Amino acid sequence: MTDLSLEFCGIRYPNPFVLAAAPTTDKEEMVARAFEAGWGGAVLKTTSVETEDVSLVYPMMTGLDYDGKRLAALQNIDLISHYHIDVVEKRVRALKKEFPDRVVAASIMGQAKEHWQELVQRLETAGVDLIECSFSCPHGMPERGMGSTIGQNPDLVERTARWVKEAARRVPVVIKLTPQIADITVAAQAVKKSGADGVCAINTVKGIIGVDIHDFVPQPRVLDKSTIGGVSGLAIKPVALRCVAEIARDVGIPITASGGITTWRDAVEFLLLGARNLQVCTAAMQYGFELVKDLKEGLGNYMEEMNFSSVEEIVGKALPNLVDHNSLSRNHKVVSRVDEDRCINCGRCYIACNDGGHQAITMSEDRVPQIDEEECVGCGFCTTICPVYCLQMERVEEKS
Amino acid sequence: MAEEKKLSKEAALFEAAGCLKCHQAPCQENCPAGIDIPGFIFKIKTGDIKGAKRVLYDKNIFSATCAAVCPVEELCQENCNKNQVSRSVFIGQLQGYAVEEGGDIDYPEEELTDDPRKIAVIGAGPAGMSGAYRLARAGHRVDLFEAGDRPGGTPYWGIPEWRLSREILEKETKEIEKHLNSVNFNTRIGVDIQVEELLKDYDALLVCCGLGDGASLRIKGAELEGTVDAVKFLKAHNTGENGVPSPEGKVVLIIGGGNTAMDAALAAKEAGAERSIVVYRRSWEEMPAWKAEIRKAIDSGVEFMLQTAPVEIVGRDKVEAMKMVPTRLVREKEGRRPRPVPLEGSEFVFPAGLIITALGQMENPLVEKLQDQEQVFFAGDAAGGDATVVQAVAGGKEAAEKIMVFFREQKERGV
Ligand SMILES: Cc1cc2nc3c(=O)[nH]c(=O)nc-3n(C[C@H](O)[C@H](O)[C@H](O)COP(=O)(O)OP(=O)(O)OC[C@H]3O[C@@H](n4cnc5c(N)ncnc54)[C@H](O)[C@@H]3O)c2cc1C
Ligand SMILES: Cc1cc2nc3c(=O)[nH]c(=O)nc-3n(C[C@H](O)[C@H](O)[C@H](O)COP(=O)(O)O)c2cc1C
Ligand code: SF4
Repeated sequence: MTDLSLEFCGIRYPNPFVLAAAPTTDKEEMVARAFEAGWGGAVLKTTSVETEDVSLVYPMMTGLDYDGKRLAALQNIDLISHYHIDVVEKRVRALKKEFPDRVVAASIMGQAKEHWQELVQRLETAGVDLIECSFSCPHGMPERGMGSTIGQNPDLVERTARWVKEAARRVPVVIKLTPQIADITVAAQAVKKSGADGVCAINTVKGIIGVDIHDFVPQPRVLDKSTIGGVSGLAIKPVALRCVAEIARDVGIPITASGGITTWRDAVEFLLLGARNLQVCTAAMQYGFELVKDLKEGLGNYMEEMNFSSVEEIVGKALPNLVDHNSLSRNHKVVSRVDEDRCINCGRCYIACNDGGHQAITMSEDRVPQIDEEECVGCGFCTTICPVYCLQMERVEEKS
Repeated sequence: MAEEKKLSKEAALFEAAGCLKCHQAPCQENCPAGIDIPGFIFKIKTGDIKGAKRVLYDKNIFSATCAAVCPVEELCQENCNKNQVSRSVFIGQLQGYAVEEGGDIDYPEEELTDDPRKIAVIGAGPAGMSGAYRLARAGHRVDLFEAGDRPGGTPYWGIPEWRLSREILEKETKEIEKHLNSVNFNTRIGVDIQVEELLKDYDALLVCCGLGDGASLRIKGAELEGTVDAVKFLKAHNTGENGVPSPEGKVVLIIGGGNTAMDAALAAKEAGAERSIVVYRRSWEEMPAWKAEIRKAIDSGVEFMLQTAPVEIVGRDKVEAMKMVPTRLVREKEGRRPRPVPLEGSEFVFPAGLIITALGQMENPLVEKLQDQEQVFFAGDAAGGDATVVQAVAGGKEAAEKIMVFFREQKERGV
């Protein structure tokens, strides 16, 4: 099988697929099963010191349905693990003993400097491979000066990251960032300045997934109230891709990506935009640990097809093609073209162009879309609608 | 079909999610009633089941009946664009789900016209009821005349219960009756009331009397006891009337290849026939019965003797057997059905206890009597056409619209 190994923060992962800090990594037995299925690493669910009170609420998750399907996105109002550092230490020991070739990372969250430093030291002693610091949880924790409160303030990011980095003797330190900030590169720059080794982008996007329209309680409802939470899953992939690309391009610090990774294609896209490690949470919860087989095989087949001999070759390959809006070509024309053999005559492109485009499509007697190339400005909306992908943008004559 | 059609909520949402919501949807174009199919399916998808039901009833006052009896594979589903990539959306099942789960909907408010003209509607089948309802909704005075003792027409006496629950039919006809000026059962026009009288008393006639008796088999022995017309047989079977021979314990031969033949064969089986065998002159390919009906017959153990033509019914004073002959098919013209030609000399005799003829129904004699009169309009099976309930419902409504146009034109001409 293709070699999928990839280096991140000085550690060689057998493959870049890592379970993100979440319920999937909150039990030793679960992580062991995930490793058996083939995950390259796992970030154990965020822990803190024994004095930190973790008071969970239930239910804590609600999904967003789209077009008759479930879980286009997931909102959670979970907190950090209710297992404290002493339990996590034991898990790290046991997992490292049983799976020495996998990367066991621990996620931590604290308030005072002593907390952060104590957490790092104890976990390092227990044998953890990497420390991830959550500066990014958007719910619950910020009310107490933790989570995204830190991540949203570059000074706090730098100061806290430095505390952790100082305390770590051996293991690399990664800071998990929140997208709830005007310019995520500022936060990533602060991490770089602190001397920490890498960033994880991104944690969940702050949101409200829905409201019960009959009794007016937002979701997820806890008895008769709700609260703003963190949105994850496929729907946040564009936000995560953008954050990863900006950091890779403008900051240049190793990135472990998180946010919407569901298929091997998503994984390749994150690699192409500069990630060198791939964390999966919602998709693994949704499809189970076996998902990793598909991710690995898909990535391997893709590399074979594209003649890549190492994952390293993929990293950042799309970055040169991401430029300012101003630099995009204005000197060419594209129009939409229909593959009539594949068209199933549904007319959705007609509606899309008529009400969302430039009225360039008409339907023939036998229901085949006809594109008026004069009227078509080339906006591309019709190609996003066609259920059988039979419309494509094609380049026509040069514009002067 | 009726019992197989029930979708759970989950299944309905799943199915509805598959609809592409096509522009100028071809499914809708192949619905005689013109139901906004993508519209009602989208409403199911968004959880507005009552809204979906309203969309249905807006175009088809017999939506629940049609959900049960429509040959969807030959109509809307046949045209579904998704056939080109996988399979059609199960539109019929979604319709069934919406009418069942959509709760009570309020029928639209009546409009009022100050036009005092009166209309007589003949026949309380789907065409007559639908036309009468449309006219009454417009504020006209409508009197309905029906030869039988209840509304529903052929769906009441002809369509088997397993396909259409009489409860559903009755609920829909009851709602319509409420809007009419009078409903007169046991009144056969041409017998109990003369045609001339109606023409005198009413400003327009809507004739929805359906078809007449079944065509008879013209072979030797056809008059023997133990031969019965499918229409009569089904009527007795479905309504519990007496007067036709029982199929119980007998070998029953059903002659014909249409839906009525299938229904009669199934009914014979249901009534305890030892064997129920359809005898048809041509092959599967030419058989006019709907695919779903043929499948149901096969699944229920009905047997088929194809490319076989009846020659003579044999028996002393009642049916004992039928003499038949195999046929070969000769295609005389491209695009035409091939002609069955008997294989002379290979006749055989097959013992049978009951023979049911399903050779199609003849025109209702009332139609002839009322031809070529300005104020007489026809709809449903009486007007010829597709012989489906949905076609009758749509036809009744269209004829009602025509009558209203006719009234308007008369008014303009000062009549
Ligand atoms: C066995 C069988 C099964 C069928 N199955 C299906 C099916 O599954 N799906 C489907 O879509 N279609 C089916 N059809 C066809 C469908 O029933 C008819 O096309 C439809 O009922 C026609 O409606 P109509 O209103 O024109 O006539 P009908 O339903 O036949 O109603 C005519 C009414 O007029 C009354 N009448 C007749 N003469 C007079 C008179 N002189 N005075 C007063 N009243 C009179 C009759 O008593 C009757 O009530 C089936 C037909 C048969 C025979
Ligand atoms: C139920 C749930 C609990 C989570 N808990 C944590 C956590 O304790 N610490 C953390 O850093 N991220 C946590 N996350 C965020 C995930 O690690 C991940 O960054 C986010 O879900 C985006 O990735 P995804 O789209 O693959 O799910 C949690 C996510 C979910 C859905
Ligand atoms: S043709 Fe099929 S997919 Fe298109 S609107 Fe009708 S049911 Fe939906």
